[in-house]
Amino acid sequence: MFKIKHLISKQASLIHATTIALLTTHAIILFSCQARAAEVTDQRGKALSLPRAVERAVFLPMPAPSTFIAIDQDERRIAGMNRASAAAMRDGILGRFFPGFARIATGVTQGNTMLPNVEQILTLNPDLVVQWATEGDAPIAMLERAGLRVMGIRYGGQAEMAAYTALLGVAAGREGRAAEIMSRQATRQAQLELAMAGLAARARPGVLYLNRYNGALSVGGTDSYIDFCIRLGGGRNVAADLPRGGRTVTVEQVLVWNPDVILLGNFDTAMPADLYADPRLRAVAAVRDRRVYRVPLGGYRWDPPSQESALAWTWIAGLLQPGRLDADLRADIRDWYRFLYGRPVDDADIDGILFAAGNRGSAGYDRFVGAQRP
Amino acid sequence: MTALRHPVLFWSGLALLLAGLTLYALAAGRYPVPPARVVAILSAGLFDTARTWSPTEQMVVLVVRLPRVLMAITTGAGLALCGAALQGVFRNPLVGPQTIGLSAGASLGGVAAILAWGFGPGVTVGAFAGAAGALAAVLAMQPRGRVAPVLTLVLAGIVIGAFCSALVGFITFIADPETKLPALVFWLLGSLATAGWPGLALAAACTLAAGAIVLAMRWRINLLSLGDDEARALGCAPGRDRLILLTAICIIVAAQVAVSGVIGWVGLVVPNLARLLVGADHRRLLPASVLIGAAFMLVADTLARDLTAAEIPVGIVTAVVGTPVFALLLHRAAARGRAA
Repeated sequence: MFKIKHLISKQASLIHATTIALLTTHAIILFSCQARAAEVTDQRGKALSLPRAVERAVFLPMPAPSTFIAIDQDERRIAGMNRASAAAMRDGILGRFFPGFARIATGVTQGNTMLPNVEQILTLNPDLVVQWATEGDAPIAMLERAGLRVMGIRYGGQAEMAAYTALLGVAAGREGRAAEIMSRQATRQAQLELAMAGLAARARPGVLYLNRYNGALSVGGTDSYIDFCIRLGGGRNVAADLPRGGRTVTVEQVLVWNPDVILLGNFDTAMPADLYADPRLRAVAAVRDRRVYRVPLGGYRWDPPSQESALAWTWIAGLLQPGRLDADLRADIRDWYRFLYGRPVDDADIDGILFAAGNRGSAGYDRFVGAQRP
Repeated sequence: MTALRHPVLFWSGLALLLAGLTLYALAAGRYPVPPARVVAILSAGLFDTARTWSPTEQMVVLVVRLPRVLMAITTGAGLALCGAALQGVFRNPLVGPQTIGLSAGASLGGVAAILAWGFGPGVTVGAFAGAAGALAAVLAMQPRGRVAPVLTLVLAGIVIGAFCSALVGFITFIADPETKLPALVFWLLGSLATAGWPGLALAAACTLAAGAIVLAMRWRINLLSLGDDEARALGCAPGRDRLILLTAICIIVAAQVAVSGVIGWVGLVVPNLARLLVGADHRRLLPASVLIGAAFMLVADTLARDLTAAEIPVGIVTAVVGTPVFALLLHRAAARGRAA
């Protein structure tokens, strides 16, 4: 009884802590209902006055449009977005859910840089431009000099994700939905922390996240978002000694780490079969035991933070600590997609999101895709 | 040229240095394999020795390191040979494969292929097509029906190189920053990280075949380095010989870029370094450049993969290691010149 009480109390405190984190992030949001406008502080710490609900938003950060669509369940208020965002929608399921994405203007950046194409953005007549706040003053100052209203956002960790989701919720005039997305994520995070509590260090499999395999091996280091996901899912990031950003390593370093599980990221095209066929990796435990998995791709990539992160954590936990979290991933996907996008998904959709065809040959993946499914 | 007072000692010393570095490179790495065990693994196919090593150690030496070490030797030797030949042909010590547009052409083809299809066989096709296109463009800029003067060739090479570099810059500018750009930038910086037997076979076949042509023409390069009039007076056909040499060099550079991206510095610095040791006679300069280039690249690549847990692009290491070495040698040579 004491244990149950202790666990419930711990879970409550985790949810409480997450709620406090949400409230104390950079976004301090105050509403003025009479003026039908919102005063917010964006993630660079600048106060911003927003119309009650923006009608023509331009997004330069890649993941932001998909988050906005999830909040708004519509793409029509997006006037412009990064070309890379459009490519991610085209390649994922979001493009099918919201075919109107194809009419959204791209070319809002200068090439693939974070610098805005100010004239192109001006032609879109936006009432809000969402821009990175992590790349110095210039990318934002260029927009503000042109008289545009700019919301600076930061990206990288769960707290930053929570803060900018809240900001986008205000921009959409749908703060409730933004709060519910993060609240659902916080609940799943707490459930996972509870499920993995007391897990001995030796019971945590060594996990290597390969951001890139083709061309060169690039891995996720300490305090990267995938490092957080691996720890949350009951694993141990073997590359935790490396700095946060992706680093290129040699094949020999992978042999030295000898990970039990390898996760292949969505910034590359590599599939588990490529690693199983690589003679250089034959001795790696993950390859020998066929525990290489391609990270799923849903409304957005599941490796960086997104509105679908709770599903990503659940997927990783299912791979690393099967049975420890009482969750049915396929049911969760149906539930989350209905909630996020207001769209039903069938078995074929879920298999596509989970890369069932490419991951089926890997150990234990039947628990996600089912042996009877094609 | 004190090095050539004892030519046997010099050449055998260079060969031994390369052999020693090869053994060291095979033994060095993040995965520990003692040198004695490396020797045992390598000689297992030749002698009936007791198996004292693990399957993983064998795999590390034979599958991971050996192709990469051989690739370093091949690309280093090939690039240095190209640089030495070009410097002779153009009578200019500042010329290298990058000066005459071949590297830029090959890298343009390579990045275009990566942009279109990602990493794969397309990169090889793109690199060869790009290098061939660059060479064709350089030749097309020469006056018709006349032997192309050296200066026009170099200028055309610089122009085509700059044009290709601008297009490479444009492709990196528009490449998807999430999926294509990081891999593209790493490839452009030059790396032997992807070395494997198929790539090595391609690089070795091209370098051996085209390198043999360049080496066979070493005395003709001596004549070309005297100037067109003198070369013609001595029975040489400068235009034809230059075309043959440029085509052979184009093949070597394209193969190198296809398997390891653009690796600068080696083709420029190593021939100058070799010239300080053996003089300007291409009969000695070319073989010396081959051996020194191979050794230099081996050292650079071993540092690139072992210095830290993260792999450093070898193109950065060649510049960082090569610059002080070259500056020191140049300083000493200048000091000797003043003393004389």
